[in-house]
Amino acid sequence: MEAIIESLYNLQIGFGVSLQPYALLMVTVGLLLGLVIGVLPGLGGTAGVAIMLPLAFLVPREVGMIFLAAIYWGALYGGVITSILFAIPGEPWSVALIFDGYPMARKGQSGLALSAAFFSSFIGMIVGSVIFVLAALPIALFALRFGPPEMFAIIMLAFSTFVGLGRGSIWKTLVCTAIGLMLTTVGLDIVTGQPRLTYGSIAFLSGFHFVPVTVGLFGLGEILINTEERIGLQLKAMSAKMKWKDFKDGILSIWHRLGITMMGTILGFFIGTLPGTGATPASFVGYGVAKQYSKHPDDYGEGIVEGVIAPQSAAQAAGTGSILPLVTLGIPGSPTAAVLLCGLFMYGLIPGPRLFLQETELVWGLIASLFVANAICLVICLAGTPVLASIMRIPWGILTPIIVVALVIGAYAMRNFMFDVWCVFIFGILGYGMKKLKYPLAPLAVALVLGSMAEADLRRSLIMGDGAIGIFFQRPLSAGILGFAFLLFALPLIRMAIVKLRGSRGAKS
Amino acid sequence: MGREAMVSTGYVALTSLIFCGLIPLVGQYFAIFIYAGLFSSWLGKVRWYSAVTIAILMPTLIYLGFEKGLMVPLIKSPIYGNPIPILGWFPF
Repeated sequence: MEAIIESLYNLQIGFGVSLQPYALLMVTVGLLLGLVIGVLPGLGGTAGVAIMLPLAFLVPREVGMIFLAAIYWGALYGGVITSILFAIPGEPWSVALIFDGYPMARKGQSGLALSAAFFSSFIGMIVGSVIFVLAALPIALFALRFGPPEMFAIIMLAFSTFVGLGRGSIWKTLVCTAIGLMLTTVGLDIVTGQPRLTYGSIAFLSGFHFVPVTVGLFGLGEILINTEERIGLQLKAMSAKMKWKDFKDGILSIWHRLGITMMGTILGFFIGTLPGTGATPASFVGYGVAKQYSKHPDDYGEGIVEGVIAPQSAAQAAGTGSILPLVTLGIPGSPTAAVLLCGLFMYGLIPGPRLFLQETELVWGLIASLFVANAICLVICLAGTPVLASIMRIPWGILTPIIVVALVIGAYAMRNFMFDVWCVFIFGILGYGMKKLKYPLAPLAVALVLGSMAEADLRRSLIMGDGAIGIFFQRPLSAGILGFAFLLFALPLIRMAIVKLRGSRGAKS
Repeated sequence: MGREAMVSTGYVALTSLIFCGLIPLVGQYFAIFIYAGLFSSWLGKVRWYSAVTIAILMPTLIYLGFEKGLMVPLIKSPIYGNPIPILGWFPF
């Protein structure tokens, strides 16, 4: 109780810092930059924060850290827009939004999808921030107990929840997951540093980055499908109008699905606190779990609002959660948090429990800015949505080259690498072909995003266990999580067996 | 899939391939100029002045956003930094 009172007192000091006019101005600038970065495919929140590091050095450290964090919050919101309107993930954590957000836009419900995503972001971040304030130290200490076996188990859990995504065929889903995992093995071996599957090519040494691959699969592939179907973005502009009704429906849809929102938020926040994870696995797990426990799982992927709320609330809460181990223990919870860690070092601060206790204004100013930035961002997004929706009224012949250029330039700017440009084109053609053959793209993207992380944790675990796989089952936490993951993997097969059994019984009777 | 849809899809894929192939040859800004102009006038069938506006506006905005705003250098054309005085100032 004492800790809570002290936290609330410190939060009051933090609000004093983050509500200063200069801090508010920098938060707004950071959010706008983050929104633009989030909308641009390829240029992620991590890169955005990194690019702005030198600029942040020009302002006082309390305001500078709030500014850098605001870019991240803006990018978390910004990824929503392109995912729902164009099926182009501006950020890796918004890939999961495409599954239902884009079908909703195609059905003429883009306004509802956007407002539901923004409000679920708002709830995810506000509830995440409250949990942050109340339970900062205990949660971070718990997350510290997670070693590589537990991290590997968590990623397996993310994969297992996505086996159910293959609406057509489980085997096609598994094949796509395997392709994604295989692509992550190209490049340098993460333990020995030896070239692997490079075939003597220098370009392959750096491996396949998930951004150009995802941009190609979902972006260019979708443009080709649109061209073929002659639906085109031009026609969808008719249904992209934002009305007050969409805002109201967005709030109501969250109110009626408060359970899913809270599930996504709490799950996302918890995953976000785990070192090295962040919003991307949280959004996938949030979507997967919501689908797994839904009464109508077959509707997921067809364009239902639950499929937007669950991943977005999880991603936003995970973004908040990823800052928790950073400020309390000096351990970044996500790649973006790692760049924020660089920001702290840039100001000559050493993150950790001592900083948490001594630099009250800086740390609690940052925590209070979670609430302030979230409120400002929601207003910007809601006010800006009609403008964003008007993008869809641009003729297909103009919008298509704009999107293709944004895809290619965004993918190139990520690493300044021509190989990534070719990846966009090749995976665009592949994505088009896979869609035609009804192969699900999502498991491939998930495996590609999380694959290298899974491999690193698997190999670290095996090194810890002297090469024995038993390490995963000797530790209660990893054994429990892996057991749950295996159960989820087997669930579609169990369902199939039950349906078959019922069918054969019905035939006999 | 009808023949017309197949041809349209093929053209979009072909123009994208040409765009990617032009980047190492003429730089990203000129590649965008050629691609945007070609696509919007040929496939998009927009009016010529709209196509020209798009072709000029896109590389200009990308230059200002990436090179000036975000300090991200993109591939320049062969005439960038040209020793000929009149072209030496050319920004991309």
